[in-house]
Amino acid sequence: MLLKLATKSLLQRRVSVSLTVMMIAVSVFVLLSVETIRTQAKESFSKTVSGVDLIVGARTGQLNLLLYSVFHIGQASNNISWQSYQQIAASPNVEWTIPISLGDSHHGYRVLGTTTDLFTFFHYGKKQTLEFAQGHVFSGLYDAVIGADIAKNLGYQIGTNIILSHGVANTSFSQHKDKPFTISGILKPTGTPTDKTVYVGLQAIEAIHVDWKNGVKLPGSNTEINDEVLRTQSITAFMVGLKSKLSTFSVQRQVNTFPQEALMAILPGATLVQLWQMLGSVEQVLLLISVLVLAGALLGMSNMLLVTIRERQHEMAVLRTVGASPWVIFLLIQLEAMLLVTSGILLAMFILWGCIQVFRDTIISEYGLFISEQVFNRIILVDIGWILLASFIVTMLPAFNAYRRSLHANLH
Amino acid sequence: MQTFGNKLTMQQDDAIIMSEVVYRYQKSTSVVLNINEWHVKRGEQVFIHGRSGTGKSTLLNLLAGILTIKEGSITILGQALSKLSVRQRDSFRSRHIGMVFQQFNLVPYLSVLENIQLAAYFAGTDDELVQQRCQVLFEGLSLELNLINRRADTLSIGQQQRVAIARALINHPKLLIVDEPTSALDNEAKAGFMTMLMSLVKKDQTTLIFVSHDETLIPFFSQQISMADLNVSGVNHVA
Repeated sequence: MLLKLATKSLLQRRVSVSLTVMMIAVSVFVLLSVETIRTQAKESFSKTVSGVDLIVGARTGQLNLLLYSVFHIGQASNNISWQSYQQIAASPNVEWTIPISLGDSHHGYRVLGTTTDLFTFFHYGKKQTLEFAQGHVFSGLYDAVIGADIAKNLGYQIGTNIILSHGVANTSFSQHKDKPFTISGILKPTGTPTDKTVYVGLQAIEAIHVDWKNGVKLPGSNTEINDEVLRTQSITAFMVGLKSKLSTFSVQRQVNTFPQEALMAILPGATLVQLWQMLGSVEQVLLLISVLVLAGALLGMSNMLLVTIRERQHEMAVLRTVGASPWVIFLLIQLEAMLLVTSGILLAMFILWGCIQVFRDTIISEYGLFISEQVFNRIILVDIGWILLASFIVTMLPAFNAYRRSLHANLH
Repeated sequence: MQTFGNKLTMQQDDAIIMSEVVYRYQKSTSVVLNINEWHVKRGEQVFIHGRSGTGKSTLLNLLAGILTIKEGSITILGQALSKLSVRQRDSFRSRHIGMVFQQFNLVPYLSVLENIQLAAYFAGTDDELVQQRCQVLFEGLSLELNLINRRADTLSIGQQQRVAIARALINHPKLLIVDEPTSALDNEAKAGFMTMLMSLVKKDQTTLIFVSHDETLIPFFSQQISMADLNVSGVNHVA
């Protein structure tokens, strides 16, 4: 009965009520977006790579190396020569290596040249290896393995022919039209940048760049493809698995002091921690701002309720007449506030869900952030609990006002 | 709820007993209402004649248990109001006392039925009984049953006042308190309203306290008293 009363009373004031709900929805949306990005960024970044002890690349910032090699964000500053790679890979402490060669793309998706070792040694999430939904690893020179999102978004299947573009821009003018690839395998979804990557053999990277110099195809030349041509000259970076974790720092030092070339090795976990520390303060500021916006909205709602209580003197008197105690009046106002806030939250969740649906791909390709389509999670639910508690506290003022007025409701 | 205790049999017949009641809004302000001794027997219809400013609103709020006194005692239907907590008084009112005012008797955004159900809800009356009683009351008040789902604020004033009576009587109250219910009605509607009200309360033997400044209504009642005689605080002379 009280719920019906509260609902009908709110419907009575449609305009101001819907404005209030929108105000709450916008502020809750801001808060939940910040929370979602904050928590999911951490989760998606930390699950992208696991079981890799070191990442080696040309000397650059630690974060830069991590971002371009694992998350495919940004560009490498320099390459590593094949000889140096071989020399480090042959070191007695090294169990396995995965070479990475970046620089090309397909419809904005990065192309990663590597060896089949990737599918054996690379792990993500909780030590999971990459699994095939269909097909198998690349075996022919022009075979490609694609991530789940590419297959889904571009509608590719096993056997589809694709053309790679030079460079990583979304619309590239120089395409490797003369050397089309055939899709040999499609990976299962992982929720990591893997889903957005085209994997080809290292030799394929060499093959499509035959006759290219300084990023342009030399007109007229058409060198024959043979083993000599396909020999890899350089790679962008490589991941290292060690026989024993104990040798991590000695191998890192060995790489950092490598005499022939300026190289560096990073520990992916440690570098991620560094990244969080850097983002930590930004995160706090964003959270603070969104909490303040929410506080503003809740105070606005409180004010709206307070104003209406003056207009509702007669209604309160009628309720008292039929036997409602002042506490029932108090409860009624609290119930109205709860209905307002709950509708606001539901609307915000809906907007958030819609935004994730629409911008998910953009966020992944632009920022390498994998946002789950699942809007609800434990942290969001805890947040909602806090919001409801805050609205209860803020509504104390109008509810007590109504209580006090109805206590001495002068019936006439 | 009605604990008669060792009260005299004569007092059990009384619906209202007020003795040495003194009421002031705040400690410092002057006395608004002062009633030495006033008894109303069960089943009687009393007309209280009084203009505004003579303490009649205060009297009605005290009878309903909405305002409470610090001095004197008020016993309604055998129950001393001062012995009840706020919540118990509210519950007592919802079950035993019906109230109708000059205007604004209904929650405007609820339907007629929902307004009546609201009163039944606080009294804990069964919904099936409400439906049955609605039919009887609507017939007695010449209200068409198809009004029942209309929003209260779409009804004419006359209809609203009659719905207010139905709402007040839905829980079979022993005491009905009515304050200037006819002031917004024209003469013809007024007579019809009074006839219906009187026949309903007589049928159920409801005690009726009816306050109005309109002396033409006196013939409908078995008893009448003037606010000036009842309230010896002297406030009426000021107003």
